[in-house]
Amino acid sequence: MTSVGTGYDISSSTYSTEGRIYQVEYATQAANSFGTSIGMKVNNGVILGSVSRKISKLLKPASNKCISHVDKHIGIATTGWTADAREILNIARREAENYRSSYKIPPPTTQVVQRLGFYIHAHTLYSSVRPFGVNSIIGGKDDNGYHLHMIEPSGEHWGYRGCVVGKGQKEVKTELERIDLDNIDPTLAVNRMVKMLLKAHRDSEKEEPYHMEISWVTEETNGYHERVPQNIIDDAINQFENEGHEGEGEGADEAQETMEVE
Amino acid sequence: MDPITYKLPHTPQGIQKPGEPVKHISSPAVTGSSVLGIKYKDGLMFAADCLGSYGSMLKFKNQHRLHAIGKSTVLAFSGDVSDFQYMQETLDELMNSERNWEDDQSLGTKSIYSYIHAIMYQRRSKVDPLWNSYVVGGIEKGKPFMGYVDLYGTTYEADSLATGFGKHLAQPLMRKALEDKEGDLTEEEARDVLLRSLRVLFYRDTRSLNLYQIAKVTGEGVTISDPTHLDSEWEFGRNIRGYGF
Amino acid sequence: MGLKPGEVSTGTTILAGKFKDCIIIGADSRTSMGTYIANRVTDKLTHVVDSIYCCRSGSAADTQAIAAIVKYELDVYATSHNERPTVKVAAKIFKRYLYENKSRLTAGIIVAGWDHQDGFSVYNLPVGGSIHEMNLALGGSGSLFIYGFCEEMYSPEMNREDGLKFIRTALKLAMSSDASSGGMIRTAIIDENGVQRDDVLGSDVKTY
Repeated sequence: MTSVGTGYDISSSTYSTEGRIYQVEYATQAANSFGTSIGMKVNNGVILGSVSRKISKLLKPASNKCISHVDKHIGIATTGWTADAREILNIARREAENYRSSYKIPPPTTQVVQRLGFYIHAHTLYSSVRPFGVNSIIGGKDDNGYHLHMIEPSGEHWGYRGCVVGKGQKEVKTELERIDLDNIDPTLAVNRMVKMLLKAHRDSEKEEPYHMEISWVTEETNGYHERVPQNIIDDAINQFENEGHEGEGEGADEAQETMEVE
Repeated sequence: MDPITYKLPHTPQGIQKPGEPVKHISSPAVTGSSVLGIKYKDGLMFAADCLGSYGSMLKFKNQHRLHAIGKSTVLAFSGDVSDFQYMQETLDELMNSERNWEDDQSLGTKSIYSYIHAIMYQRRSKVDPLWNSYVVGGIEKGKPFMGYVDLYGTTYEADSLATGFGKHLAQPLMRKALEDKEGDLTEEEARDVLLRSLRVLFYRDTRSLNLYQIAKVTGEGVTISDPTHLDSEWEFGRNIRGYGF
Repeated sequence: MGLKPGEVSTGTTILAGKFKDCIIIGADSRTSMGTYIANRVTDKLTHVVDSIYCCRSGSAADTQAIAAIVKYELDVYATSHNERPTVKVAAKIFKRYLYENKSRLTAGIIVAGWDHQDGFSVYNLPVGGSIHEMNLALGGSGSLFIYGFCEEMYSPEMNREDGLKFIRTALKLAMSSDASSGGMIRTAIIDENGVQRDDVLGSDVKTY
């Protein structure tokens, strides 16, 4: 970063002489330095998952959540600064509720994503605000089927079949690309996701205690966003521990830069 | 009294003059008549016919008037359908934002009841009431609860409740049934007294229909029946001739 | 509530029914001010967007204004969602205006049509702003005279020809009994391919 120190990196309202916005890049770095989140759009379902280092042994079990409901049928997984994530969550919920009162129907996932993306992008335009240090993966169901989107700190957002952000990004991405996402069933996909998350955690945090959350929207949940039953997650964890770390790092070099866009 | 026949004092509609207080005028358009609710051994049972009247016209003959709110509460309404639909949207939004907390708690019947009361009282205080009477009932922490709220913000709780004409025609039947069994009705007995009450209402309330629904709340949750035909007795009228002379 | 002195009313008989492979909506063509007929060739079947139509009854001014606002809002919906609006969304937007302004409006509207998601739908939005999804919706002052006929003769299994005949007969009966309904019979047949509009001239409407 040659422009660092030249003064162009203190405000997101000014480009650097190379046409970069450093504050947004810093925010992206910040967002990627906490844990790993994965989203998978599969056969008849969409799944969100997140793993991060346990902040403290003294923390209450259910606190510091990174997956939340946006509406009945929409969920969000966030990685990055938790306080920023809370603001994003509140805005997402507000927009969903707003949509309901205008159109009196459940908000389509894409609409919430677009409005949220707009809000996050607006925070990259002014010197008086700081861009959000958060990556959000949003999954949901509506009349047009299942949807998966990711919004970056820049406000950029795309629809995905599979996406990942955070520390384990590179490795998980290669593994995600190998999965036949369109045909895999939700339960099996959860199993794969848990293993990917655990592996990502072990690779970067070694044996540090972790905090994992998995949620889904499927036919079985009647299109509602719900947490995946703990026993399904535990089964996958046990399998992972017994299998060991097979195929570690395999194919990581071939990681493609772009994911398939919806 | 029947909320439909009692109008709040209001000023006739005119053009709003600057500085004048805001005037509201509303009267019910599409309305539902009586709803009934009674406690029994396993929980609560509700009944209502499926009519949405438009003045004296029997306009909508498939109007559902018993609705589940959450997993263990039933909301039964009489009065204006559009105001009820508004209430339903409001409660849906409330239940939604409660679900977002994910704290393994959900709003119980009593909380829903007091929320409805708060809305009803607030609106009557703005002299712009929601034109409804509600019977709200459910099971909370294993115990049955049932309460009444109307457009004035009036509330009361009892083991049997009715709105509209049902207050006069059904309530005595339900109270007797409870009294006879010392408040411990079986499911069959509860259903029987509700059906007898609906039948009387069908006989004596001009805004009623012989198509009804029954809702049940038990420890298992809420079940609401499909609209069902109500039988009625007319045989005794066959040989009646003249009128008494 | 009710019309203000001198206000123009669509008096009206309006009708919308779901049939085997289409939706048929119909209306008379009379607009009156009290006993004076202000317009004898009114079009009360108003295009909203795509294959969604509404039938207007009540105050002409109110219903024209609402139809225009909702049409605008649905155009915005279509561009912002990149998707054609459904009949349900259209009906719910109508309902929002009718409910939130119930003290100022005299408007009873039927919203009917076809969309990609739900196929054929009919929604009745009477004065007051409630919403009722139905197979056959009747509205306006003249509808009171034909409930018996409609309840007896209607079936959602009717084909296009029988449906059109049914709708026209119903309107004819209403127009022959209701002073506020009359003139021509206007109909529109809506299916997935588009809309076909037909009129019966006042001189060809056989009244009793």
